[in-house]
Amino acid sequence: MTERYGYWNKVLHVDLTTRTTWVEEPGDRFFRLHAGGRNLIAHYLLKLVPPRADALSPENVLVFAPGVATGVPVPGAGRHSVGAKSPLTGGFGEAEAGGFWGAELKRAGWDGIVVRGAAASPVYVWINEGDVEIRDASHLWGKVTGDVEEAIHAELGDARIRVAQCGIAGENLVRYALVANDLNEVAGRTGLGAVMGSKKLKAIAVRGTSNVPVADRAKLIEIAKWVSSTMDQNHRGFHEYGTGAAMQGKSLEGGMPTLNYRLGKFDGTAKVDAIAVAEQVRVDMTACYACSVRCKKVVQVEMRKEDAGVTKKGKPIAYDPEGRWRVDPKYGGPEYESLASLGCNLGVDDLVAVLKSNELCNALGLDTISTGATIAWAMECYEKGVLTDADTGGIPLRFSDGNTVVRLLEMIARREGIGDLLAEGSQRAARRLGGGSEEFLTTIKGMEMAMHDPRHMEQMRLSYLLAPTGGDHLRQSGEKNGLRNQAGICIFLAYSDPQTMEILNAATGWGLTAADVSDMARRGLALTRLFNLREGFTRYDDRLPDRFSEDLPMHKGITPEQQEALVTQYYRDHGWDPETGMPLPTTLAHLDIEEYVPTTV
Amino acid sequence: MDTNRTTATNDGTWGPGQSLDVRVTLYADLRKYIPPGQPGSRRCRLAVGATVADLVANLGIPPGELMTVGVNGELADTDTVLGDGDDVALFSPMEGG
Repeated sequence: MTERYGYWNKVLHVDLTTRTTWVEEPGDRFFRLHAGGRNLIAHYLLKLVPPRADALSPENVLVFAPGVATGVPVPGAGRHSVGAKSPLTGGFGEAEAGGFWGAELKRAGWDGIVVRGAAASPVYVWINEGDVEIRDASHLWGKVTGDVEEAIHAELGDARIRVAQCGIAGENLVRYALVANDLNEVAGRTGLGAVMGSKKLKAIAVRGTSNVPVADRAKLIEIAKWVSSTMDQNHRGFHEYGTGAAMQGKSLEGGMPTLNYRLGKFDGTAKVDAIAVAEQVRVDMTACYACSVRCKKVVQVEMRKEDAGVTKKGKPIAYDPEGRWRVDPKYGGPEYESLASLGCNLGVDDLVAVLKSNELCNALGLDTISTGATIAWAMECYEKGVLTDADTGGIPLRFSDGNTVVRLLEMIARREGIGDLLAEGSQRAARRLGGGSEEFLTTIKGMEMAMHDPRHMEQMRLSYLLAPTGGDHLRQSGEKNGLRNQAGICIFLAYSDPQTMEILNAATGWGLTAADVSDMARRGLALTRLFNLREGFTRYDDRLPDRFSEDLPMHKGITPEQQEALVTQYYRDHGWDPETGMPLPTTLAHLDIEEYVPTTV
Repeated sequence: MDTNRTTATNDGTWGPGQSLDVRVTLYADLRKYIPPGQPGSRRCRLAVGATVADLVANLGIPPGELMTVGVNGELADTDTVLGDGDDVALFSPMEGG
């Protein structure tokens, strides 16, 4: 056997129907071709999911996919992807998460997990180094994520075990339920928690203690030192505030999603941005695996003043002036997307309500972006009289009302009352409701857009139009994102593309060139395109919602003709048919993925 | 008047009415231009007629740095002429999150 670095050549397969597990050794060519993340997921979806399968049926396949650099000792190497056919879009589903779970899986000796079938009753999978066990989870069903993690730690007798889980929203098949790991890190988008729920798979618990073998440890240590020694120049803003510290600037520029993307400026931005969080409610900053940037906020709010002591550094802990809620620090704190989707875009400038909403989304297992955007759609429906008190059970769905947002989250996660409609996601809900409510949608391919308005941010247009996952801001055409996704490196690290390639090569010893990594990124996009075409998506789906053809006060709308031109150019740039977006035979041959075509499209 | 538009420092050489004081806050990635240990907000004294570009140069920020400028809560740009007591906010562009 040749020396192997960065990966173990071991993929764990779990069939929940038959309660069997086995190990696949895909081989070195496979890893050089796909590396990990999105490409690995696309491979298994194309090979194992029958065309047009119901995403919530046992036929769907759920893949957990770190990258070849996940778990190596450099900052940012704590990322992994989760994928399946999406119950929200019906197409390629994928979301990335940080934290420690992905690195722990690698350190347990695994390059990925492929879950198929469905269990008859709730289970969780326990991976202890090389040992795998399917265990009963009946006692965990119906519990919030914090309680589940605590119970698994107690049951297995080790608080160092890392847990990825679906939450109550996933159990109830909310179409935008997330997969949470480490409680405050989430693979949020495309409804992968619902796929877990449909399989009665409550959690995957992992413990691993082996160092991932690397080709050039000295180079990795040099890069890690570069990050810590240049913190002030490269990561100071992130280190001090995390995401969301420039929200006031975005609002000034007229690009802040406000009241369901109708305005670009929210007067309450400074009340709910990362500066307000840091000054009023933040009690700590924490890190993901091996990362010195430490950009993760931890917030705490007590319900009563008399319970609010001081932090370990002596800073007073905040309390809710209205005495409504406690916000538990074990669920971390809100990122930009959550501050904007649960705050600005709903017109909510009540910081405690935004924090409680974020905590509940993590505890119940709801994607904050789709949750906030679906509520924004419902509030506009209510404002225009398309949804009435008769539909909402007497709950007025008014913008700016943080109390109602908090109340709705439990209803959505448990599919109670109006929450049952909203749990379908805004596009399905609009189709069911009718009455012109489609005009208020902010979905692409069925998924709610993230909190970056493409009328303001030109660089987001291609991502939104062509991300295989729909309204996703992190799936651009450029190689940077693709390379980092497949390597398992965080996009927030200030690595140049050559530095990311150095990490990849130091981890694997592959000696990749810039052209190789460009191909790797394009391979992932081509495979996901093949999957979406197979599932019935066409060029018609590569477009923005009608709302984004309209002008904002400070930014022009994007006309259908402009969108068509962008899409055609993207198809050409990627070697896809300029009319249909089908990857051309020469492209498939160049990317060495011809085998995926005959049986799939 | 051109001499009044040059970047000025707090050297005490101005007479009455020749200088203005502004408050400036650097946000997000622009915080890398704050010396370690110093707060994000500070007061700057500039010559009358100074623009945001003069202030940016005064802070040691390279002229090519991308930023959003707010003056007294309203969108402005680097050509905006500053007045005494103005509150200036400088933000790096944001993505992701």
